[in-house]
Amino acid sequence: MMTTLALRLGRVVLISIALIIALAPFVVLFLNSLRPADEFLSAGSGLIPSHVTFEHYAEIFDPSGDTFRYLLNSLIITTASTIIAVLLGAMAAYALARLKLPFRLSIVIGIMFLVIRFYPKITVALPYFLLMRQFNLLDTHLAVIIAHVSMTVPFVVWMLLAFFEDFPKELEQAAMVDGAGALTRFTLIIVPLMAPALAASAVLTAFMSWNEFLMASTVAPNFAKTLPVRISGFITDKGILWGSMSAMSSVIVIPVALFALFTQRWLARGLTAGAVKG
Amino acid sequence: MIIRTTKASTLATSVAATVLGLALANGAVAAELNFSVMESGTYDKAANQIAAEFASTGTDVKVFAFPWAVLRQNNTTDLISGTNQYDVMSGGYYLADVYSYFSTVDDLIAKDNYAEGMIPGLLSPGRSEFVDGRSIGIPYGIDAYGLIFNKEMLEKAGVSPEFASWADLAAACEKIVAANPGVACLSHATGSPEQIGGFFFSGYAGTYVSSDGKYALDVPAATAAAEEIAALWKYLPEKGTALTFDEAHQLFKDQQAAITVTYPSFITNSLDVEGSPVAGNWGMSKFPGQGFPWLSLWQLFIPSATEDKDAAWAWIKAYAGPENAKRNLVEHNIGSVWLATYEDAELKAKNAHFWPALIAGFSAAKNPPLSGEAQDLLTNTLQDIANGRVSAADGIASVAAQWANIPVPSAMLEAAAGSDLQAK
Amino acid sequence: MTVPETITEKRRPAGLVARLEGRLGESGVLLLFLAPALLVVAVAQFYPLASSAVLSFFDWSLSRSPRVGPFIGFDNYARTFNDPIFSGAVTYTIIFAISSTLLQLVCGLGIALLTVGESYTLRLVRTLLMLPMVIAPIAVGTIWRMILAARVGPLNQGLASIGIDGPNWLGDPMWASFSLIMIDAWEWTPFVAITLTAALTSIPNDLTLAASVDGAGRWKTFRYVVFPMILPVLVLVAMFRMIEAFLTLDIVFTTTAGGPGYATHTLSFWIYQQGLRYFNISYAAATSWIMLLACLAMALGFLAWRRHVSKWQVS
Repeated sequence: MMTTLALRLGRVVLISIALIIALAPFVVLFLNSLRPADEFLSAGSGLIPSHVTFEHYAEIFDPSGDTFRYLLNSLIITTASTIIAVLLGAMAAYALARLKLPFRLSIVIGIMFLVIRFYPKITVALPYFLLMRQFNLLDTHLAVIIAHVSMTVPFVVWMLLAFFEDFPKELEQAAMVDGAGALTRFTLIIVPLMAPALAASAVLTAFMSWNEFLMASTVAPNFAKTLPVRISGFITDKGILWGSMSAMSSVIVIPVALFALFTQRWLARGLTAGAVKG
Repeated sequence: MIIRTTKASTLATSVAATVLGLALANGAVAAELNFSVMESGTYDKAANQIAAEFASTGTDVKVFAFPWAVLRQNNTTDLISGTNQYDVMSGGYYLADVYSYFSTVDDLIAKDNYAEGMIPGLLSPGRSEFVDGRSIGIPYGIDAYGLIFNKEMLEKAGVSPEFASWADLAAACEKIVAANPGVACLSHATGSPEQIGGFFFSGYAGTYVSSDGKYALDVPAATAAAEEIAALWKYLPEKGTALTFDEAHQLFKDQQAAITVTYPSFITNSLDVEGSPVAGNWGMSKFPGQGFPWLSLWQLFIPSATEDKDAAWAWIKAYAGPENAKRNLVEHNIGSVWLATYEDAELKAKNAHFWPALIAGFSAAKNPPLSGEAQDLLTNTLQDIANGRVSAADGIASVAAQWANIPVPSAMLEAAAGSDLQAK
Repeated sequence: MTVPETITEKRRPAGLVARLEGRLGESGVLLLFLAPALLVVAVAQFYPLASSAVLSFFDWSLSRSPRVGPFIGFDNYARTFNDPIFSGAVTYTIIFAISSTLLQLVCGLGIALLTVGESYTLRLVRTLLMLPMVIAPIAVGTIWRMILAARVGPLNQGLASIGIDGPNWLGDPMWASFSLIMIDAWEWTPFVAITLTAALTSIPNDLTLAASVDGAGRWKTFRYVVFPMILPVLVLVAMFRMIEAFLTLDIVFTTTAGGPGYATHTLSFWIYQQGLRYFNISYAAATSWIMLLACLAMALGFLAWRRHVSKWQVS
């Protein structure tokens, strides 16, 4: 009996330590976003600000400033990238699962999608920049959206392929007998049944797009600038604007954290797909 | 079914249209002048201020401000990709890779007799930027590395604020630390990787380019300079090897450091404000070393692709010209390139405790004729030497070996020759 | 799963869709399904990738010329062998990737074992533990740079208040190398934990029950029943983490910028410097390709290992 109790207690303690390590940085960030600017540079100012100030939030949300535009940019880019990536990814995964391509082409295409995770994105940043210039798309939302879709579609395809493998073929066969073509089956049977899997991949795509820095900073330095790109701007030559940076980081992090709390079921599912079935 | 499809396709179309519309609406509108500048809270603030006044001339100047590294990258990619978004750019010698994309400003300067009244020698190779003997950059903000000291602390230690070399300073530091317990001798922006170069360029009296036009160091002299820096690094504050500029300045203001080596324009404004513990208790001395104080000379460039060059020139005159120089200095601490500013009786009296050293620094300061790659290699290696990752001899030998493979941009060759930094 | 009845007489496909399906045929429709995704990936990933492959055989550095120089074969690749900064970056990247991955696997497995279960509290705990990995990597870097500031950061101030003199986290070369590993592990341990929790959940209960009936203790059950079951997943997770650790850029960018000196130059950061700072475009392209091939080789190795360990699985 004692040992069971000791074990349970040990478990609670260990979990608490893990929680503290995982969450303390968020607390520091949030407290710093409320800290008066002159307290950042002197030792001994303690973890808790001497008094709470909203000056940094006021500053970044100054009506003459551009934070709202960056926020809007991030929202537009994330929403569009997610919708497009999930739609295209679902269609592609379905096609790959059902098509009988010669020469094992399905596997080749699948591996091609996997390879996208295997190289530093800087490799494609400069050629992609030049390409966007040719299309006259530099510094537009579309340029970032295309980049993000191209980075996330492979994830969606891989995740959904795993789901299709377990998908009961009988459902579709019945419909085929009824004369339903691929498009009809996809929209009427696959999509409704796959809704949880689609949600999982959508959540994952949304996170990736919202957080992405390198491609966004390369093709959209001004008008279509996103929030993560804006953060890097607080590291100036003179120093780091800790207050504004904390406030801006909180603006990026808090919605994502809340979103994660609400979507955790799909998120966990999306993250584990590919490694663990189902 | 059909209805559903139609609905879906309408939705898709309208989403696509919205996305595209927003994207298109973001494109730049014509009849504007786009100006890229550093997001520093000084240059960009001044730019916005002047742009608002400039609107009366009929040209709407849009100010694009980025932190330094991003500014440099954006300017470069804008030019090499032929995007041509910016009509006037801010920069300095680190843009050497793309000088060929800028148009010469010689005739504009001549036409308006623009150089008259400027600090002598600023418009010469190695200080401002040249291509094929022709000027391409118009200076607007000058600064040069300075040594700022706490009078009381140095007096306590019986040290006079004149240091011939970094070794001299290290010797003085020994006394300063002994006389002022708990105080560090030196604070510096050690966390900005390239800034250690400021110590090297002044401590090393040799050349940077060989007579046959390759990057080359006088290895024994460079090794000695690196060793002096490593010795000096021991007098930084405890755990002070990754300080930001702000942290380094704060240590000096809080009287926790006796000396700070920095760009004066970053700090002098705040030292004399009300309530500053060091107000009236600081001074600036001649920069140590047989080399040169590192020059920071911000210039304006007009890309060859800029369509309305007259508007660009008008903007340059408004932003960089003598009219706004005093206000830029007083309100934004942008170092004036105009002599008249330094003759201003009121300012002269107010800044008597550091202006003589500052102005002497301006006339001695230069830029090393280094490409970004050559300079990063040097400064990163110096950091490794100062932090004890590699010995001075090995580090400098490795820099010398690798420099031989780094091409010298032609503009830098010109600068090296023009500023006496090429071996004869 | 109560759908089969729905496609009946009432909703038999008709009109436009049916005609379209008829015209294109089954494969036609499916190929059309595949096309847009392939197109986007081809345009935005493979075309740039291929163009960088081509560039890697030419001589192009913007400090020499604004235009692409002559074909030089494998010279850019050969140059990496004589580049001490490159080899330094390779060494650090390998140390970084291996230590960080190991740390994540150990902590992640621990957390998975601690938090596996379906109670509301455990689910909430798991979600909270997931937060480090869902925020922007660029923000992860800035947060930690703030925390680790040696003189004024909260971590060292906290340590000082309990009498510990904290280290110079980002200013000392050794500590900076370690700090980056720690930050990466903080960010990505949740990924390992979540995936392994899912793997643990998928183990049939009767297996562990049978083991305990057989009198196996907790450790023996874990060692001989649970661990072999989750090993294939563990290997796959290790593969993803290892490769991504190899490609780490964002956190280096915002914490140490590769410093002090060259102490924390990861390969990705170094390629970034070469490509977007010095504009040695062809050299950066060559090194990226070396990296891509190395990652591919690594992935194949891990996949082979996974096949090997999967063979021993009961199912």
